[in-house]
Amino acid sequence: MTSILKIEIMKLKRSSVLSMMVSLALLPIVSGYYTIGKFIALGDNASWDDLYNFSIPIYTLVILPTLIIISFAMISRIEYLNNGWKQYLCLPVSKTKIYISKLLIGSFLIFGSILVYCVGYIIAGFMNGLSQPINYFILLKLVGIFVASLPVVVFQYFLSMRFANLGLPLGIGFTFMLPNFMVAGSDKYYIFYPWSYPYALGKAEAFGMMEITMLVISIVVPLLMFLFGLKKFISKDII
Amino acid sequence: MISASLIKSEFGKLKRSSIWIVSIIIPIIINIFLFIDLFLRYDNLIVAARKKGLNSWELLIKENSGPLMWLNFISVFIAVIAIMVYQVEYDQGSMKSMLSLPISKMKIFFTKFIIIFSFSCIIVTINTIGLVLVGFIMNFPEKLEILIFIKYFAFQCLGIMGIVAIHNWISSLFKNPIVPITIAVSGFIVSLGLPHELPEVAKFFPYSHPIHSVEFRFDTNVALIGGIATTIIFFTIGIIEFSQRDIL
Repeated sequence: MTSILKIEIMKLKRSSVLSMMVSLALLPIVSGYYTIGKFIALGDNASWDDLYNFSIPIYTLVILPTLIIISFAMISRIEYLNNGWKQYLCLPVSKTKIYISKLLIGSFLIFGSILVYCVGYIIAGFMNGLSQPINYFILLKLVGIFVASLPVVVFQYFLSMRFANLGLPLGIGFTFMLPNFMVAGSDKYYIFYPWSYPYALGKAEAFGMMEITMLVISIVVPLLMFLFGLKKFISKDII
Repeated sequence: MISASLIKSEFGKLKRSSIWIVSIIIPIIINIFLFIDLFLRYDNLIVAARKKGLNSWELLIKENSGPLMWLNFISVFIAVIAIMVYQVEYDQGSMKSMLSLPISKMKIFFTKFIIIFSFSCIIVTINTIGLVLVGFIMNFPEKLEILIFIKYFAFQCLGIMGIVAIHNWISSLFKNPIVPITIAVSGFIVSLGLPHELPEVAKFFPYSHPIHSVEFRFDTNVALIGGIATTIIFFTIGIIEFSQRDIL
């Protein structure tokens, strides 16, 4: 398993996924940094919460889903190009291990993006001269955002592995991302739409009943989707 | 400049491709979400809309372009279509064979533009027809003002033309699909705030041109003039670069 993970990392090392992950994750931070800077220049008080509130909506509504869609599309595309799947699956490696390792690598990328956002957030805060102590609940929420993104992660992974054509996972992924803007604004219906979970968790003020329900759904649903996807992948004819 | 046989061969290549599914499914799903939104919130939304002097049909367009962000996001769908059109060539290595045929590069580039624009227009058409259907299903009290939808459709087609020209060039330039998608998503993010924060700058930003298709919210001349001007500029740049590109 470790060797497969190493191979997968090597495949991605020279791809542009990593640079895209870093640059896109920092985009909302830069926007938040300048907004907070304007506040301070006008003589208003700015806090860590303000910096977070100005950057997290664009991150959870646009950047995170985009990263998930593109990362998984690229992870499977590497194999679809030049008949990579045939060569890979002819090796004495279990299909289950391949399926799990690719999902793990993709999930690491997403977690890495959240880490980049987190580091960028702290640096931007210090650069703006925010003197109050950091609100650690925000950092906890970032972990929650990762868990809440798992349904979308596994769904996009399934689509990317299932369809050789790049357009389908991209098209379907972006289509389901779009209603996010509408659903996320609702206080009642977001629970029925897992795409809006990262945003809902990002704006939560405490981990209450709804947040815990979201987190439970975010673990159970992807698990079932993963088992379904794995079954399909194992039964797939390599020729 | 247009070669009917080239267009036919391009459509032939895409006949069994999933580009059709993407072009048809995307607007249908969006329309379903719009229907759910109106079904759940119509009574509240119409009260607020009437205060602004809008009727139910205009509210429909407002919801489609506002909370659903259809007009902002259409650039990302155009990028996906352009990627699919060019990936057919790159995946099978047929770009080189195509360029070694005695066909002018200009014709090939123009045909690709026509194909991407046609599929983008299919998306816009289905979305607009879907809006009217949603209105009928919701049984709006006002009579359908078809002219509003014709204008909305026409200005959208003009507004997206520039984005099609940009992505036709970018997708031909980069084999890696990440680049055009990242550009489209960045364009989408900037277009979210630009028409409201800096409306004068937004007139020169191609990704915000489709947003100006809504007559009662923005100046539609921006979609018309901006769309055509961007098309001319990027099509010219693209064709010059594509003609000089080394095919090896």
